[in-house]
Amino acid sequence: MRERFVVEEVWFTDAGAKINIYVRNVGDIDIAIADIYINRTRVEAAKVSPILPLSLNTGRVVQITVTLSSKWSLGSVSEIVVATSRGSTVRGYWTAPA
Amino acid sequence: MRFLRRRRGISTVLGALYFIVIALMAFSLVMWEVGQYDAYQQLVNRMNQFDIDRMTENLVFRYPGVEVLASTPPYKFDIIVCNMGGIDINTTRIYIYDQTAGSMIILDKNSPTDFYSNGFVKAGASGHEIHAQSSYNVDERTGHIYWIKIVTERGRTFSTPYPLPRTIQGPGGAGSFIDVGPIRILFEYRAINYTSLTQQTPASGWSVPKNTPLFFYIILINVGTEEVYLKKESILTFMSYTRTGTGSKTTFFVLDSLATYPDNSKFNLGFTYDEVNKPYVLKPNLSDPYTGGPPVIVKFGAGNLSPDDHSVKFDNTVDQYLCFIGLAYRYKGYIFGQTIPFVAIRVT
Repeated sequence: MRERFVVEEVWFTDAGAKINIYVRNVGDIDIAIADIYINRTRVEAAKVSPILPLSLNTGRVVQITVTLSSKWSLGSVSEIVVATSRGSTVRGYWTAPA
Repeated sequence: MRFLRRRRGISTVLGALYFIVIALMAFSLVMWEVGQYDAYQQLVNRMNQFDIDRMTENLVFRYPGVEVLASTPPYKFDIIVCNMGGIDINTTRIYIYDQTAGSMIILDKNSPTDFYSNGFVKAGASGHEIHAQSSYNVDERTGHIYWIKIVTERGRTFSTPYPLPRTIQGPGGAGSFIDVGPIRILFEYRAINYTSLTQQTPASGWSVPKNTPLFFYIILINVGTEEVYLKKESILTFMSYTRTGTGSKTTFFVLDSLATYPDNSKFNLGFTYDEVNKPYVLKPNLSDPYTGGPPVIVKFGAGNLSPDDHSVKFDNTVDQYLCFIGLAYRYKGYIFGQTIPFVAIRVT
């Protein structure tokens, strides 16, 4: 009920190998980011930096770097879902640079 | 009998007390439940109001989007916005993505290098200037296309391409244009810019130096419904008002988008326009074709179609020139060519 967070920006970087996800907590309470899903596949913990679950105080923003197992291709669209430990999710579709 | 009567009296009193205690407990329970429900309802209302406020936010970028204040490091510029949402907006971060260079900068209020101020935009504010300072150059005269994204405290994001799509009538008469086919050519103060070895940042091209290699920058917009691909035969050609013969006509062929300024020591194949693998692509605005897609800055400066000459210059004569744009492009699968009278410039 009191959780509100947004994915502010997604940056496809490192020649296709990485995605930076910027998440901000705009809600009333602190949250814990528990998982990242890209194209409906949960990203392994070892490929996420910083390590999840990640506590995020209200009003704060964090950059989460995901190292991809296969590189993103130019102009491709990715579905990215960020989930908290309480079960809230934010979903978005992001296009890699063309 | 008297004793028994007494005992009966005590139990009556105790029974009454028990009843009162139970009634009080029940009442307290009801009150607690009411309190809990009230607190829950207040929370629901507060979060609903938060969501309503969030959805009410509406930040609109106003032409020209960015006003450049300092063109040398640290770069300073204002981002011009209007608050059309009826609620005050507090911005928390600005992302600027340089689409041409493939790099991104983040402006935070408290960052020591890339930061901004005046990020609180009152409801109804028009032409509000967010003052930004950065180690990265954000200036349309570089020929780069940027995406500016402003994030608000409530979690909304508002973004725009920069340079902004030109409106039909911009402020200060800035909206004059020529539409031919799917291409719009702007006529405004910044319609034509140039660079040289000593003028490496694009400057207004209404008056340019003689006998100096130059690159010209012009702005094209797609007002069609499909992408326009520019071909290598596209030119900018200048004809003297008064003279004929040698030196009276100078032609600049199209260059690669990453070309910056003519520099003899740096001439290489990187300036050569590659219409197959790296063409200028003018994107349409499908939701509003008449407004046009994102402006594209096209650069001219090659001497011919071959990749060996990037040092075109006017001769050593002060003169006035007529300028024509010769465009060759592919649109809807067909090749088009057109000549458009453009501007008149002074060579001094």
